[in-house]
Amino acid sequence: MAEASPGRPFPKRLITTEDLDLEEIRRLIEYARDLRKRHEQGEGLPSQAGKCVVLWFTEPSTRTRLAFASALTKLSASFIDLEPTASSMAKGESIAETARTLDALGMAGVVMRTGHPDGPGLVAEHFGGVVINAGAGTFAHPTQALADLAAVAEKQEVWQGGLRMLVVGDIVRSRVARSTVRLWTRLGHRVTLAGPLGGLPQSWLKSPPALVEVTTSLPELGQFDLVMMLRTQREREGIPFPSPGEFARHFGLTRERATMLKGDALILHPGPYEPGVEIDPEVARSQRSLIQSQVEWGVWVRTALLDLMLSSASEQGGEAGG
Amino acid sequence: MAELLVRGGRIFDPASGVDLDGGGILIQDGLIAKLLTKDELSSLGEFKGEVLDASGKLVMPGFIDLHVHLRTPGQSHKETLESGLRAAVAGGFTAVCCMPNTEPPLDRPDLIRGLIEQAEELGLARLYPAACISQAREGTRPSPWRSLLKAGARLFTDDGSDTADAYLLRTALAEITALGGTVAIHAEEPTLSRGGWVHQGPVADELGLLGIPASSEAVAIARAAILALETESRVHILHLSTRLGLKVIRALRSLGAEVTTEVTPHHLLLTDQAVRKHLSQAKVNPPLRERADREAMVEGLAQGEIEVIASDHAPHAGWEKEAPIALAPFGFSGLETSLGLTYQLVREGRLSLARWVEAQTAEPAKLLGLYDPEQGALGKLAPRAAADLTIFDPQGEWEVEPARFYSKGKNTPFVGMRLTGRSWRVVVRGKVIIP
Ligand SMILES: [Zn+2]
Repeated sequence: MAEASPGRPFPKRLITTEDLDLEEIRRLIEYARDLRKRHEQGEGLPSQAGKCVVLWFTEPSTRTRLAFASALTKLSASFIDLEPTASSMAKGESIAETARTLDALGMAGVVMRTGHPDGPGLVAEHFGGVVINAGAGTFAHPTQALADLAAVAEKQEVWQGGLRMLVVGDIVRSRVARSTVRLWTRLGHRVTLAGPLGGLPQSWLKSPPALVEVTTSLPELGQFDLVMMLRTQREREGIPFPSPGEFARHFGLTRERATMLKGDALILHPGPYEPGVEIDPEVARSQRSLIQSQVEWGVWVRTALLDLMLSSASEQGGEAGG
Repeated sequence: MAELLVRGGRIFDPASGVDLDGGGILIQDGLIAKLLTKDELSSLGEFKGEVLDASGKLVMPGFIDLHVHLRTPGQSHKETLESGLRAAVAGGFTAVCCMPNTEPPLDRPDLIRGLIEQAEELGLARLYPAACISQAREGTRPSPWRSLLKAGARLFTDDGSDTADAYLLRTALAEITALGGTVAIHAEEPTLSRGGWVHQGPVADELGLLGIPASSEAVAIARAAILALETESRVHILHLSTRLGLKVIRALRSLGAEVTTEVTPHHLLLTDQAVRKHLSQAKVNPPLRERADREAMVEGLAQGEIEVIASDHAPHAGWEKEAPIALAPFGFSGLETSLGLTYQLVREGRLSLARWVEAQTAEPAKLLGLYDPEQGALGKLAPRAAADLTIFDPQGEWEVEPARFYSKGKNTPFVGMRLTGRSWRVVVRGKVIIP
């Protein structure tokens, strides 16, 4: 079992899930569980009072911002919303410049959601404190993938590898899909990506990463332990992607298709979902759906992460770079 | 009476069949007066003029960089004519051809004349400004080709982007070729590159970066080459980057199209893997491609299917390249690293010394129409040719330190690379030029 308390050093940057080694990932998930249990038993939570974290969100996000705000509140830390329209970024100040300013102001951490895949990495070059990627373009969304892992870990053995996961939909424009592939294959699980060709990473059709399979048709559902459905990212750069109706007909997780799933198979969706497109609302609310649990674990994993990172960073001291 | 004697070293111009170990070059009135063998040199007696001892060095025709962006007029925060031409001299070039995507673009004869005059006053490297094919590089209406040619433009291109209107390009190819100029295209089909930032391949897919497929280049090459074939004209393809593009060139050549092409040091030495580490610093158009593309570029250059090496020197201010990859401008500094980088291919035995020299002397001189005149020709070592020399130290070891560049563009993904072989001196119009 992992040490419940922070104390051992923990990385202060989470740009992708690779910033954590497998031992750190396990420690994080178990610490999240531990915090949740303490909270449910009415015990107190660790305190990061006196530290201020900047929520730097330049893309609309309700649930991820709420999850981080809620996590920081649980830790008695304060936070400031950096509104891109109200800040000097609207006047053309660069990410690097803003990061240097936040560093000079002595902020303890930056949580960044941005359309720029390299945005959080750029912040980390110029800001010495904790940096967490809360979703960067189509690059990575590590805290979502870690929350999903915590949600699945509650129901299935995830540390031995060998599970089969199916991810369906608009893969190429999905940061969740990329983080999911990275994290789950590192843990030794096999991931199948399925969707219309225009929505698949083109080079992966020929040579996919290790433990990944790519297919342009919906495979036999009975072989998977986990099925993740993704929303079509219509707001991102255009790719030839079928209409919602066409997608639903050929790839949507309908009630009928859901009956083909294995007995203990679990359904994931990073949310928000489009009812009747990638997933039927009844399936989304069914017993095997983890959608609600993903949201709950989203808060606890972020609480654990912030506590570990903020504690460790204040011991290490801050220096930009790396 | 001769004014300058370059002596010692290996006097080497493969295109002219000159290879004199320990020979010399006598220079008078800005022209080569005589090439001397070792024996002729030792029987020369006392020489009254200036002597440059180039022992242990390679003495070659002045290197010409066919593709540089000097940002003049209008973008002096990136580069000025002076900083760019100093960078050229420091990098071992005696002449450069600057691209017309300036502010305003080089679509007027007075702009071309003005640049040539300014460069002559500076007395650094020679400058050959390329002119726009279309007015304002908008790709719709022709720029005044004849007047531009008269003003001194030798190369025509809308580089920075492709010429949008195919019928305009078709006409430009026919007319400019007939008038003795060269039409060059930045081969890119915008509906395929769709505002992409890097090569569409495994790295882009892994990092979630917007990719530019190889077909964006290949389709545009096919379009231009077919138009050249139909109009019996010539087209030069700038900065070739893909093996697919090279295959299309081969195919169109086999149909009879007259196509020449060039490759940059970065497409010869880097792949899209560099994007992982360097991100915005490695953002360049065309993008760094895959290993197989890089191999095809080296092979194509070695075989002579790719005629020219050109740097595509594209300087930017530091803050511009500090931006996220979506917003950072394409390109980086190249003039001061080009020779050292490409010479590594010679050292590795992948490129003959002869091809390395031809690709930066005779070949670009031909494309600029400067190779053939009886007097003052560029790109060759011969009596009455221009006394432009690049003298290279094949043993010189150095490290790429952008802070020391003469160029205002201090960005390069080659930062920190250790190289063997660097330019030692250049001679332009018979004079040793110090940057
Ligand atoms: Zn170009």
